[in-house]
Amino acid sequence: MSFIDIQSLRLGYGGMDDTQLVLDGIDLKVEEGDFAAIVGPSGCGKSTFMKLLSGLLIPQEGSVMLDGEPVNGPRAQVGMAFQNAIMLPWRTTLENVLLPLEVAPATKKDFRKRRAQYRRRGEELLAAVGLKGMGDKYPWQLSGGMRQRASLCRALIHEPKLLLLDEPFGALDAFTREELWNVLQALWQQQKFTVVLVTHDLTEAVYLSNTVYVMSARPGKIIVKRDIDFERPRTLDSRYQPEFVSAVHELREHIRSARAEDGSSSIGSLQEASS
Amino acid sequence: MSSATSKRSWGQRLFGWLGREEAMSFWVTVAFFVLWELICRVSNIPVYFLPPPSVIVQTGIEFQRAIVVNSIQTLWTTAAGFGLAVVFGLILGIAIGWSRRLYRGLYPLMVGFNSVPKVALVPILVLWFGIGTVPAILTAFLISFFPIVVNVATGLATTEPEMDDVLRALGASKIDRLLKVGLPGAMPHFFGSLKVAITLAFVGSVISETVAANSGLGHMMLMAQANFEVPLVFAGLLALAFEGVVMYAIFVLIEQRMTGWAFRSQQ
Repeated sequence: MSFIDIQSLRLGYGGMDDTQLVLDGIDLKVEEGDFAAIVGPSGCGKSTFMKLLSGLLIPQEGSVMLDGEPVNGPRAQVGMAFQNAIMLPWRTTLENVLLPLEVAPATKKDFRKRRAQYRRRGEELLAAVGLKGMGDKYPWQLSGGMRQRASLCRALIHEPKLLLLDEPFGALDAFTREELWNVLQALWQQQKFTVVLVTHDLTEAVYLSNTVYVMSARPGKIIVKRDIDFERPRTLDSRYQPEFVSAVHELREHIRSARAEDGSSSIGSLQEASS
Repeated sequence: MSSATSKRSWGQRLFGWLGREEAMSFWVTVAFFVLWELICRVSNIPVYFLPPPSVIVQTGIEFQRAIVVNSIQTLWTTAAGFGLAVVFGLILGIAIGWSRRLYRGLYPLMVGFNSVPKVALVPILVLWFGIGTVPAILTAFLISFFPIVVNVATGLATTEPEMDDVLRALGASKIDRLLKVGLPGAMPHFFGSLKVAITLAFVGSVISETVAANSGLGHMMLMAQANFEVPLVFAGLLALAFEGVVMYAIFVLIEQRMTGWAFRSQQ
């Protein structure tokens, strides 16, 4: 059985008729250690999908299996990072990174006993994302990119089997974003956790993942599965190779048709034409 | 930089400070009293109507014992009422920030209590506890309690939902989420509300002293008014204002000390 195994999943907020349905019949399998990306028009239920994987929401129909067990509540084997790096401003960067260990039932007691050891692990992780020696700084002393790096560390500190990323690089400038792609790629190659990345950025999806799933407009369905098998580690230059460009182009076409099905897309396609 | 400033004399530094933006509070206060003095002198307003500051200060020195004794009485009733308000305000604020059911249930009642003018409660308190210190403490408590409750509850309610998602997905217990994220995050709201609450507590104790007490600044002013000692009434008023400013300033300092991160992270 696959690491993530989702079968005929349906979910609605409040009810299951057309206006309330958010996800409609999702089937998805992700193997352990794989890197999957989900792209789709905004409002297609991608974030809802992430909540289902983390156990914050329970599906009304269908099943979500994680590591052979049904997801019916929050479990600590998931790490999450969002577009907004949301760090606690009264804690130093290292203390922010260590927060999951302090509250997760599995590590809570151990953390109090072996604080020094965990602090070292936190510092090593910070160094791995290029924040060596920044652990004592407060979040307001860090730039947006640095905060996002720290937020990645927080998502990984408890060594989760599954990393959920909800547009984690969306608020960063292009150069910082590209740097962080490589940071994430390196971490993933080293530690081999499973990643599900939700993003609007097709280049980002193709650059980072092994498989890109395209979701339709609400109610969300998976309409395309595209395998990306370029060599690793991918470099920023590889984005300009013809296979890469054509993969992005192909996905763009799918997104366009997904939006066209949506009634309100006439303005959207105008915007796309002008951009 | 330090060598340059240390060479300047104390007087030069004071002179330099007086020209800066921070010194505006000093200048405006000085100007207020100078203008008051001038108006009284130029327009010959009788002393029993509006005494000039110089006369008020003279009277204050003359009656300094009465002012100090009554100030201490007012200060301690204020502090006692305020202390009660902090303890119960925190408890109730956390409770209604914690549970939506409690919030829903208690809110109308609390708004109702808060809408009642506290001076209207003093006769009832006197009925229950007699004239004196207890009604003053309770009035101070009742009047300063509400802003603390509301601010603590609001602070807890404004926790970032995504942060909450991160912690819930980890399986963190509700109590851990409260202790590690909710409460520390609500501290700027809490300490901010203390500034408001301490001045309100002061208002509460003085109201009660004015209506039903045998000591305290409120009582002293009422007696002075009855004896037509108008400058003493004003001296009491100035003492009240001064003490209010000092207490407010103390809580601004405490706020900055305790939740400095909230000010820095806004920069």
